[in-house]
Amino acid sequence: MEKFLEKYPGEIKELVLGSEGKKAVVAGQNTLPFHSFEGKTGQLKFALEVSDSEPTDWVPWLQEFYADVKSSPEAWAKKNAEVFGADLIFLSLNSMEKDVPAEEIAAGVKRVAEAVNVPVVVFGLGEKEKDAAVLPVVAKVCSGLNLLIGPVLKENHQEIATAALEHGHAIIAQISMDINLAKDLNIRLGKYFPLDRVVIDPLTCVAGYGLDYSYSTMERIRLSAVVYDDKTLQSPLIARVGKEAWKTKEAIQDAGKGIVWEAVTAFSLLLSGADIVTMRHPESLQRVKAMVS
Amino acid sequence: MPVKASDIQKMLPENGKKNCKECGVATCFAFAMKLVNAGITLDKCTYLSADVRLQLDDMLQPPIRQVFIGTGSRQVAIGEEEVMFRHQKTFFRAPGMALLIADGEDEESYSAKIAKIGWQFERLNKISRFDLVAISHTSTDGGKYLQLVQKVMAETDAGLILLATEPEVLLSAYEASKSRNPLVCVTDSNYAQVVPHLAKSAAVCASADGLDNLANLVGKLKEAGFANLVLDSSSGSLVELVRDQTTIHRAALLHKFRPFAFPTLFLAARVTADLEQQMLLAVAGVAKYAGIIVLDDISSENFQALLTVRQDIYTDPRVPPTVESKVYGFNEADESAAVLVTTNFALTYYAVAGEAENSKLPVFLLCQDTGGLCVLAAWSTGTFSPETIAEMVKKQAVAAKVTHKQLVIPGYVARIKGDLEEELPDWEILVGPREAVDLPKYLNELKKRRENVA
Ligand code: SF4
Repeated sequence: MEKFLEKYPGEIKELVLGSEGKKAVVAGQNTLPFHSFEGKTGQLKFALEVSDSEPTDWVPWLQEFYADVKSSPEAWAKKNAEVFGADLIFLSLNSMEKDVPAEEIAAGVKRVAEAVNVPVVVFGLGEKEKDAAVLPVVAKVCSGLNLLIGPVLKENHQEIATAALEHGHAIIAQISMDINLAKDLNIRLGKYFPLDRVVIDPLTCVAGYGLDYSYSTMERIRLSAVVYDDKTLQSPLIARVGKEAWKTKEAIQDAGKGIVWEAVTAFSLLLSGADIVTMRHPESLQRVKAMVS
Repeated sequence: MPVKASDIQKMLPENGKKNCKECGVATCFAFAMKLVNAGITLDKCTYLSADVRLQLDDMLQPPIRQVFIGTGSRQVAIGEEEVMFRHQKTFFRAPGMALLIADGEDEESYSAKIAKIGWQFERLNKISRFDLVAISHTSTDGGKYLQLVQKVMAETDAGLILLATEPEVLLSAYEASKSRNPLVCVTDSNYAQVVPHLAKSAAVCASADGLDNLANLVGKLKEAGFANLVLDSSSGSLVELVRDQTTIHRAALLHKFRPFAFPTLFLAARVTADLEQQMLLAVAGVAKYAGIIVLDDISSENFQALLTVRQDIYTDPRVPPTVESKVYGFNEADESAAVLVTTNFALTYYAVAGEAENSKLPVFLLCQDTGGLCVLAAWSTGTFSPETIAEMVKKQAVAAKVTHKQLVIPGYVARIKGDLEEELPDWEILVGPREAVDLPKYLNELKKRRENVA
């Protein structure tokens, strides 16, 4: 059966996140997802989400679940990493909605990053002006902590990516479910930012709500990078599953369904190419982690 | 990739140059052309040796043969896939899902599973359910196996997968159920006692340890005249599942390796007894080409999630998904409900519907038929215009549903506000947010504004 195996020319380089003593390595593959029978597979990382201000829009089950820590981002992040086994902390900057001053937000990020023993992913609102105003300040205040910062959009990449580069952070390039948009943004970034320090976020749709789009977008990006050696797409991929899974009708109805929805979506996207998945419930994280390890 | 007529021609009499016309076609090449397009059958040429006939028959089969299991409305059709990745065209036939019951289980346990064959749900106009029951022989009583097979036949119209390995037990179950076209699992060790007693038209699953043994077993079955085959390589881990399914699919599609030109079966119990892990393995099977997936059991949450993923992966990416064009109500929409309009592109609908629900305010959502285009694309092609929106508002008699006259349009088409006001002079046209996420905030503000006016 050896004759049916394939070797590919492209590779995704390893991406190291986190500061000294709390590093994590993402990706580093030269084959397709789970194809360890014909090449080197990349390292998968599971992130649990933390909100930097007490979340109000999370479903009641999650609010109850995190009741003891949800008002303290540091305690919450520590619990996610130390008790629930998160490889990364995904810190949503929801305080940006309340127009908290950028310096204050950035100081909060720094406290979280220093409190935990795993790397931190910092995520803005996805609003181009607000993100462009706040994320560079985060980059500066957390200089040297080697965060993963995003989202960086076509409209605001200059401001955010330049600051990230100067202060030693990796970035998340966000596009809307289209391989050509991913390529376009990476080409723009590639002029001044190392593409192996860029993680592509092609947006996530969950099971029953367009998962097929996310699945195929990720698969196409990964095929281009590995099979067709497209250097402009040789970046790790992130699937932000938690937020999307927990706003479905199913998750609002029932906590158990929310867990399952989050788990099947995360696992499907790992099969199609995701290197990092972000989740909100440790139970779904543990189920998927047990499956892939 | 279909076979080339010139390759067929070379196999015909005198290297395809006999051209005797006795088949009713002008030349051997024309005959070959017709064969490729299924316009004529091989028996029309009487000069073919039995050997060549078999070879040609094989060449004319699709790269992956279609196999049917069961009968009637629950018949499962698998195989005839054409691509490695769904975006290259589409995946055609979703895997058949099976629950595994054993005659060694107590009655309560297997009755509960048989009842689950009746579970189903509808999503985007499609029914999802488990259509197959796999039955294994773990008791020491062959009579018990037969009884269980008969019970499943009496209580469900599901297709059967017969997993007993003892030849007599398997064959008596086969005899009892053959009118229902079961899938009979055969291994190297029971081959000699079982296979001679099966009809050549039977659906047979070749179960072997690893791909090399599997290819050998399939070779024997093909030689014995069986064509409705299913492949089971006994994958024992997630990576083995991905490896075996990928290799078989690749071998069939890209290398025309005929022993693997059949759909596959994956038995999750070979990897783990943990039901949560089995469900995730099934997700991998769905994504990675499995034709039949057998699980020990399933919870209602897992049932819905797994079959939803299956529907997503087997959605045809060439056809934009749509929802019915009509007025949808949320949060007990009444005469005070806000009225929004958008397109019937399913993703737009889901995004807007989800946020409308999240707002906890009564909302009517008009989904105008744009043939499945999203807001901007529909606007730019004229399928989402002031005229078409006005027509929908009038046709659906929206004015009679609410006491106000405010219509919210998507922020992306703010520019049509003026023209729409001309089309609908009684209505106040409001420009909503561009993205669905911002709807709850917008709707709350809209409500406050309306209360202040009142
Ligand atoms: S009958 Fe056979 S040999 Fe004669 S023309 Fe047809 S294909 Fe050729």
